[in-house]
Amino acid sequence: MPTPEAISKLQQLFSETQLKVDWAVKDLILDVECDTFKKLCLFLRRNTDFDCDFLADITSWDTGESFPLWYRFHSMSLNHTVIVRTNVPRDNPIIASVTDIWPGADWLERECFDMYGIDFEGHPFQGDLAQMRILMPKDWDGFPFRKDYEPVFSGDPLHGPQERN
Amino acid sequence: MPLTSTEISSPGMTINMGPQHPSTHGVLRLLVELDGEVVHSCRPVIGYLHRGLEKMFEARPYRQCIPFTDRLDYLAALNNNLAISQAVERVGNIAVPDRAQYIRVMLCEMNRIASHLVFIGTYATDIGATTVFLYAFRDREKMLDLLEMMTGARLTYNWIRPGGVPTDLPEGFEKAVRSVFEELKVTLDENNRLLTGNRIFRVRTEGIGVISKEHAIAWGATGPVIRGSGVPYDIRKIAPYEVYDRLDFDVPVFDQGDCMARYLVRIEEIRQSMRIVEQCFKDMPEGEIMTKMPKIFRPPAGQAYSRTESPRGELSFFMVSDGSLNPVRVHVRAPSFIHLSMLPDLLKGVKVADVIAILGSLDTVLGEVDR
Repeated sequence: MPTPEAISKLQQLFSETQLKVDWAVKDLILDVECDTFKKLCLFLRRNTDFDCDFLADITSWDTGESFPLWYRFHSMSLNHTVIVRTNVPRDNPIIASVTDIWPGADWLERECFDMYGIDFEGHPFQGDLAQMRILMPKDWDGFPFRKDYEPVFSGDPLHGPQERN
Repeated sequence: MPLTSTEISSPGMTINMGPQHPSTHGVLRLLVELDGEVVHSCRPVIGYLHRGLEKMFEARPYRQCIPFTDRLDYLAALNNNLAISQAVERVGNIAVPDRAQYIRVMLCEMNRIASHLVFIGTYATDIGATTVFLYAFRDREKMLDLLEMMTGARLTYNWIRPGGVPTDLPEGFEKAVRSVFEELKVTLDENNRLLTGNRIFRVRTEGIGVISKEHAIAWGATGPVIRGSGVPYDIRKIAPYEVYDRLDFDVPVFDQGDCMARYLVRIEEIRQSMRIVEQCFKDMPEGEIMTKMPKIFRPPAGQAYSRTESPRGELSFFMVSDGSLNPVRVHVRAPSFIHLSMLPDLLKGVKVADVIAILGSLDTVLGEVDR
């Protein structure tokens, strides 16, 4: 757990951020809006009381209305975990990329794009659909982990692209 | 007049390593652009084994997800079983009896030994020392026999489940384990001497594929890879789960960050795992092995994640529940996936022969990468 002083400083700087603590594992959970997300990430990385130098995981899921994003950071020197959650709207799923802060975010962000179609602004491959795809074939149509995704069998199991009409 | 090396270089020659290359340990394709013998750039292409397991979890009740996790990291299936069981237990607030926790830890460590033995064998083959392959697999066979004695299966165990473990230790298990360990302690040193005392192996691994401490942290490396770079990051120590906080073991750390360091970490981890298993036998209490679980299991709505140390690194399952029978989302943080993402950076400027040595030292399993 970060110190109480560090947490109160974070609350001052990001007054709209909601703080929660998961006492079972002593994780700090921060709920943040999309537009302040990148600023908060920079703060977590650079502030010596948080010192989140290790990005452990990025994932997303589909609630039907939005795509919540879930980031798990860890600090090697202070040994605490900070979880940052944010929501991107379903009709315009776009969020700032953190690859410039943690290079390890590269493939994790690509996976989120591949499965949910979330656009990461500032990712080296942003906008290049074929380069962004990672697990699915380059020319795949649609985002398979969305709850409203309906697979259409093209008739040829070896070649993925599906004809939608 | 003989040609100079710049005149005969062939910039921009692209070579496909894989997806059927034997030393990629699975269906991994490396698009390597060569300049002579030097790697100019490398792009890993994955997804050949993508089965959409995370989506399949969403269509099944929690307990039916477990057999699928066997197919993630198939060399250490029990560690995957443990990771998903812990995530289900955390989302459903289930407590696990002490004895079950000891049995879980013991079996996972034995699976870790088996997995590391595969690494030693296959890595030695990658480098060109084929003899060790046979010795390492002979030892692994004995470990698999022990695991079969306990779980009834040799590779896909489907054994650890939310709430505990299904069966208690079989008759004569402790004796069998001890006798295998006695042999393994001797043969492990033999295998180790065969490799660390081999000049070719040393030249091909020492100083090759160096990952600096900062680099390893920034890229999110875990497990033997980050410990080979001098960072003592082991989930079993920094966030102990099950009964690891009651057990006495060391976390081997090497500072060099090269292929040799990653190999030495794994050798030392086998010794530590044997220590843990022996302690488990000594400390294990009598009692229940399974919590009473409802027949129809509906955890409360919420999110939870588990963090475990699999043989390859930090294996974490993230789970979202909405109070219904099936999970809304299960995400696997696969250590091999993260390690592969380091490759473009790691392979820039190395000789083409070292590509295999570096890739092998990361010990990736493609079942886990592609999911």
